Amino acid sequence: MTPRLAALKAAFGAASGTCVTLPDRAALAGFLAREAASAGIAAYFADPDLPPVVLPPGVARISPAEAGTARPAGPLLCALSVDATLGDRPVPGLFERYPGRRRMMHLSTRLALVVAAEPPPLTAERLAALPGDVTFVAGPSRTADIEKVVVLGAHGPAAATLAFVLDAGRTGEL
Amino acid sequence: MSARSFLANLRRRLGDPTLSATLSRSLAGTRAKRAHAVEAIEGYEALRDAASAARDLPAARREELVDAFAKAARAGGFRITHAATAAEACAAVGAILAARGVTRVVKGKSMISEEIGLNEALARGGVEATETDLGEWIVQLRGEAPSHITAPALHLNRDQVRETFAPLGYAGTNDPATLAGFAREKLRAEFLSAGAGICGANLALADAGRILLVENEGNGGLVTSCPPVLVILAGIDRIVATLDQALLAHRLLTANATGQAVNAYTHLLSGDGAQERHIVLVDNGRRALLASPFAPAAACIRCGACMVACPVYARTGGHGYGAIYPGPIGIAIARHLLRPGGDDPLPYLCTLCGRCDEVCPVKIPLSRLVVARRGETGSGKGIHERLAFALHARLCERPALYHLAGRIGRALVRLLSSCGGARLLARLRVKVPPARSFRDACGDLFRDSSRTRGNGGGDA
Repeated sequence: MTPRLAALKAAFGAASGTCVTLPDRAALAGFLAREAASAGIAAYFADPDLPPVVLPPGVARISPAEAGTARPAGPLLCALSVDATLGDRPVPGLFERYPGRRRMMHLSTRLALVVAAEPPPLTAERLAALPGDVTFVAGPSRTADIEKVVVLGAHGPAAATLAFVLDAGRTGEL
Repeated sequence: MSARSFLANLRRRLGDPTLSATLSRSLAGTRAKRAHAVEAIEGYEALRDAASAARDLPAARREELVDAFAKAARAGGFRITHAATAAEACAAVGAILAARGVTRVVKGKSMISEEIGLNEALARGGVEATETDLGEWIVQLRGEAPSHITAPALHLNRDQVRETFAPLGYAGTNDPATLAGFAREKLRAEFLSAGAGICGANLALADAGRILLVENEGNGGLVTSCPPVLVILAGIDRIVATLDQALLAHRLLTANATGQAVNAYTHLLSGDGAQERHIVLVDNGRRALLASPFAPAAACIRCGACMVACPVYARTGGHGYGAIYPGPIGIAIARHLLRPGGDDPLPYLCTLCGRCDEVCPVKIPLSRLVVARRGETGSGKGIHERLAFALHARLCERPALYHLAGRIGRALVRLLSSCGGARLLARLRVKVPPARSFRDACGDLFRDSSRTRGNGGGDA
């Protein structure tokens, strides 16, 4: 793991997120299937570039085409690929690759952010060329508005995992 | 607010033991977290200097940035409206909503919307606004204003929050996680059914034409992605030149506001998303502030660290100030942005201890600005008060005369007390001094030390 990825892992963990390291895309599919089987998940949404996942019975699949309008009937698991970091800081970021991508992320109860290659830092030049919004996610949604007690899952995901996929073909860059 | 009601409000806050305990606990925790976060930033002082230089701009440069931002944001798909006053800003938002038949909106936390009285204006136009930040929703349900710019319900304890939720059907415990879960469930439906979202802007990037929005709860993400229309309110003082400057301010903001290395969500919003997006660029006294001796206050990044550090805020809470922006920065900007009528008593809610100067991440000289505000206030006083201050100033310049006046004053108070004037003295809150003052008892010591230092000092 490169120093930048190690910093990403450390920062995400410090912000109450969890990190997993997986050997390949098959292992990622298995991990996402296990996440989808976790208590109460009713719907699953994932980026089209992520591996297909066999969902447990009763978990509805939401396609990227539905991301702008879907209303998940219950707790949603969302799996998205990381696009960049917040400048030189180790915070993973997501671009609005297609309409509704950010919306699904914010509606989710559990979030899996997938790192399959070292994400580049967002620069002014790159930002100028990007359409749509960018959102950086440091960890689960949180609030401390009641007596400064930290509560996870205020409005967005209560659990967030950063999944590093150490694919054999990409070991060098990771 | 009249001076009488201002003082009555203050006395009520100071005499509230629940408020005192809640503030004491919450502020101590916040101070410790902030100190830890700031310590962890390498080269923190250099970053403060850089941020201060980037934010403390002359008025002409600010105007250039406003123009550059508006041009870039428009090119990026935003619809831009300029509002000179609070009334114009409210009217602009109202017109956007009315044109689309919107009657229900969800809001992300926005101090500028509090400043311009947006919720009240929308209600008059038949639009229901629901706050979605947990603390902001709590104070909205209670019919209160936020008591801190980043922690709106800082003045409340968990029992008070439970009482606030009870009329909505909440029957659970006072556990913060359970209370927050109730709010999540109640507000989720609002995000999905509202006709528009309204939020503020932490920063606006002139080079990219984007809005930078910082939050932790995820309500900002939902407000800016679920409803079909989004209206962003941005003060013209929020504009920075570049992405790099924005990221620098962002780094200082999160450490100083919440004591976090980084907040949960940072959004860079553009105008070309699926939503119809508007930005209302609000002046409302900011240009006048920039043209005044109080211009350094326009560099504020609204972290609230000065409030958390302030010993007066720690006793009164934000509501003690009776102004939307409390604490030292509130004193510095209120007269321009909120325009209170009559004499402004806020500058006297300050001990001039200077802790706010020490913690301000962009090095605003807050205590100097407070003194300057006092000067403004004093200029409007009656002849008796001006004479008294002039006499006091003369005495302070002549130590021998000052100490003689002190002796005469103490003697008069003792005389009055022994002649049946005790009740009058109590009413005036004047305590009877001891026969010998501390200075009388230690006079030789003071004289010797002043001579040793060679600092003059008359007959002291």
